[in-house]
Amino acid sequence: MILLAFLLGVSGAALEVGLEVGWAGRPVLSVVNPLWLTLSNPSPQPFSGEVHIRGTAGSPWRGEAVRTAVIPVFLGAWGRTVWVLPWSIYQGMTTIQVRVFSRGTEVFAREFSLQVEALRLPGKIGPPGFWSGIVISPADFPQDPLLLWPFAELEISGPLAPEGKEVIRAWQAFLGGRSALGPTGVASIQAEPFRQRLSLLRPVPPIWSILIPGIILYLVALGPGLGRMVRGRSGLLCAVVLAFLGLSLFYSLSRESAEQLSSIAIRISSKSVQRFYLEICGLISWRLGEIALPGWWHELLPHRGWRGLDLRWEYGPDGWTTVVPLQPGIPRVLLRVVPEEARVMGGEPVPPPPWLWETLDLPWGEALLRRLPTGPREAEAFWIELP
Amino acid sequence: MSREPLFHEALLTPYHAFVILNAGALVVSLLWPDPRFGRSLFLDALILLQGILSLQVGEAECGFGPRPPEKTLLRLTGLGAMALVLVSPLVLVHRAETAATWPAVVLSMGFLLVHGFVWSLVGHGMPRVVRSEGLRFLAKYGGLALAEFLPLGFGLPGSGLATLRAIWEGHSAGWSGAVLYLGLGGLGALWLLRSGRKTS
Repeated sequence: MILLAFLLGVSGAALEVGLEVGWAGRPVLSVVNPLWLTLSNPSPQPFSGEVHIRGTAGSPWRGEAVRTAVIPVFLGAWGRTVWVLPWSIYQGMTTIQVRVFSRGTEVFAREFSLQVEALRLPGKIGPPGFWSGIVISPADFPQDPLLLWPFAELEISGPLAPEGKEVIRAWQAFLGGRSALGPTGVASIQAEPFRQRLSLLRPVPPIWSILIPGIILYLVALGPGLGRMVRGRSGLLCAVVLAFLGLSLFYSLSRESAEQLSSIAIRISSKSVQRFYLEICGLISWRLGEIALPGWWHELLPHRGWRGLDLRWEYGPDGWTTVVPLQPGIPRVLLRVVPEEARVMGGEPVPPPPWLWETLDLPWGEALLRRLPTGPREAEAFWIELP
Repeated sequence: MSREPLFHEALLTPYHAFVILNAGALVVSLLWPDPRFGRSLFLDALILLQGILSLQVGEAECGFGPRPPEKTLLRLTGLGAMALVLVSPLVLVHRAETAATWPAVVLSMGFLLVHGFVWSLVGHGMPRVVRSEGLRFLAKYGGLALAEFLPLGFGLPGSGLATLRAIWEGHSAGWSGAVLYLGLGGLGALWLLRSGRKTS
């Protein structure tokens, strides 16, 4: 489905905005879909501003999670630019809102409706012909394997550049795709066991050696304090409460510096893929806040409780950054395909822990799992090498 | 005539039990295998135990005979604040372990003060409305349970449990419950002042 909108901006400047989501306009649920944003400036004045793309997933019952991409735009006179974004489509995301701002003023706003496919699609790369699925021209072939996620299988019926074959191999190895180019690696990812593992992480355990004696002493000391209070003498009670308030304040402040964010990193590489690897990152925080991760990350949402599970992608001088708002105790599971060669940094081979086994559906018998040395804020880190 | 004590003997055990039970709830919440549940367990226990204590305080204050309404208001507020002061070392430990913000702690304590005041007014007014002790017991604690749990089931504001959790986590969802309790507290105080003047 191709959606185009044209609107006159303020101060006489015209701005044309086009949006297309999904291959052949058929976005697929629960995966990353290509989103093409076309901006044209048909006026002789250059245009400078910011584009905000916003989609809301979920419902008031399930909870709503907002996805926002912020792109700074500069268009010369009669300039035109096309952005291709890996946009995640979730249950309930029936519209995408595009707003354009220039010098703090909104110059364009429009909601584009979506008709979402429930199942991944069959596709073909090659010349058009008698084919019920979607046909991709080799010229349109994406550089990012995530954009092929809407396809369940791909038929290759034409010449393809080596880079294109590499993208297809990465899609097969990490995103459960099927083609004649080789075997499937990670067939599916079940985020729930990973989420449960994350929710059990407590950044720093309580200092029991201080807490338990302190609480017992306080409860014992309160008895005589309250007894004297009945007789109108409040001195002992005030002294006990003040002493323990001071102690608990000291305890509370001393814990301020304790690490409040924990993460588990899983990196998956395949011997058949040279240029890409899959990175899955689980985050849990004990403090309200947000974290900015370099790159464009897709989130695997839980079955329910989507309220506040927002993501914001911002484009800056160093490329995309994903800003993840964190709520205390609520795990976030994110993934991305990294366009770099996998470099295994040592680590001892280990059998897969049960939660990891349940999370990733892959040929475990042929895979090699290594536990990596953990980085800052990392509770655990794993590297999986697929054949 | 001897001066009336600020803290009556009948309240000694309820206050001590209130702190002991909250300390137990704190330890259980820290040991709970799922930290997400543990985060709210202490707060849930705190608000329910505070509701029970406030009902007992209100009823005990009513039993001490007629007083000027202003004095009753001051005593109910003071006794509610005292319960919070006694439990505040535990609240500070919970803050440390859940990494809650200081404004959230201050707002939570403010809400607890209002919540306690409302339930102590209920406890204070109940003997005038329900004469039978058995029925009064049912009405007091049944009413508290209904008020705390019923709105949760229907997703309505007003449950102290949901309000305290939301304020503690810094969610705006807690404001409706806080405003409701503030309104109830204000109306209750007005009712007490007016009815006290009529009877005196």
